[in-house]
Amino acid sequence: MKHSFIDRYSEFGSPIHGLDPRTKIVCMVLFVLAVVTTPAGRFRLFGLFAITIATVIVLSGVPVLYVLRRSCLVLPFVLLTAAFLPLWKATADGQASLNLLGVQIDRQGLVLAGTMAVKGLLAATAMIVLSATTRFGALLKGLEAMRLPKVMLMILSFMYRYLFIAIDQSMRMDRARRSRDCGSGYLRRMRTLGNMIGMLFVRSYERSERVYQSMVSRGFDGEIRNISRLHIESPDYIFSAIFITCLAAIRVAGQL
Amino acid sequence: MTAAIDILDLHFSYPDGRNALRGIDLRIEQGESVGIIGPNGAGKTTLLLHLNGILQGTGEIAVFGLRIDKSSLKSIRKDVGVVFQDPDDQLFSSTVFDDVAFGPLNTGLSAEQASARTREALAEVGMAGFESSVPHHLSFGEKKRVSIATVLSMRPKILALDEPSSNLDPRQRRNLIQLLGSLRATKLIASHDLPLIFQLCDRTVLLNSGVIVADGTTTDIMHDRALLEANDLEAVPTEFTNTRAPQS
Repeated sequence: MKHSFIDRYSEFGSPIHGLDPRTKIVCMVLFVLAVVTTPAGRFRLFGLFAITIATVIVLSGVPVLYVLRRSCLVLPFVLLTAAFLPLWKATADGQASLNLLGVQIDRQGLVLAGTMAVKGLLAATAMIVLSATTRFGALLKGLEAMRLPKVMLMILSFMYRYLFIAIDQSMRMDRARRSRDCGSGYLRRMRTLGNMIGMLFVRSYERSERVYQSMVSRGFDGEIRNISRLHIESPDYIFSAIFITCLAAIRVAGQL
Repeated sequence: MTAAIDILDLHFSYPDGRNALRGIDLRIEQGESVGIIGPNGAGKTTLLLHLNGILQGTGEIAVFGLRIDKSSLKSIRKDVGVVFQDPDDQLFSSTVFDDVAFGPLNTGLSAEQASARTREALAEVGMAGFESSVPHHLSFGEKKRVSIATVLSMRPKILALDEPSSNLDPRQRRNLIQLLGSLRATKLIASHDLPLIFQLCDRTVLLNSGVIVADGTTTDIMHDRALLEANDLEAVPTEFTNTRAPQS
């Protein structure tokens, strides 16, 4: 089975895809920092940030809808936290300015909640742009060159490699279950599901032993050695210069 | 000439008490291609995993005259390349290049040397140009080829392959047989695929329940219908045995 839906756009050949992963990591992290540290309620600035990241998306050729759909996944989490802000504020200083069906709602709290949602959405979008325009292997190489601890890199790398196999296995197991399932009850299905998860764990555990054996066979001694083939070139300088200038300009405009 | 592999009275039991190998004596000369056949659970994989010290039973194993022990493991693993049955066990890196370069880098080669070896090995298995591919985007046959490349890049003197043709479609299987036939190392091929063994190996060792039941020329063993059937194998139809590829 193929799972190209998980990293389907990272193989494109756009100028953004061609950038060194480190350039993209640094730019996107700076973007998140710039967004997060912008004071609440400056929605015009957030709009400018959105235009900046949208430009990058358009340049990369990744469908805007795809990115939006992915970044909206964080909204429930952000909104769950943000939803209570207007209510708390109202009780704190009593400056309720709206009365909705008998519930006191504070305008300042409402602004805070909106800011939180927008910040969450923008930050998630930046990360999705990063992952949709960079092959996972290249992303790991970039993080390695930026001195992320090797243990974390190894865990991420194995996770990415074997995630697809685990998905495959669970899909096959589920298919086998369904083809013998003639309308069993909810409880029974839950029990089967539990068994399947257990089986998946046991199989993964056994696989990990075989993978380790194959690594040891090729001289693995506890240290992963890699050849880095990353090059920072002029497009990287140009892109980061423009991108960071945009971020700085938006922030400076916010001070005026 | 020292034997490529010399095994004396090898015994091994798994932690669950199953006796997988019960007294194996086997000598394999340099340059030989030996097929190891036998039913499921005969001990074929267990035997292969002993060749580079992944499993260590009692008895003696020497590779090119060097006994396998802690101090010799590193150099023996350089000489013996084991290709596992499931390419998903063999390929664990996020790109094909990293996986093929993994072995050479572990043997202490520089980045340039390892890169050169990697490209060479990928070209040898017909997978040049796939360097930055992600293993889960490859077909099963391609993964199998890359698995072989991960071992070839270490330039092993002995190649041990576990069920190389399992799950391959006929065309991929044919390509694989051609590829294996073109490799010059001493080869041990554990398989149920008797026609494949017939094409690639001059000598065959029949294993059952952890002991060597028969050891002789492939032609003799493949034509001994009674022996094969007594050991839960099937004789190869004659149309396969007549089309044997000439050995280089």
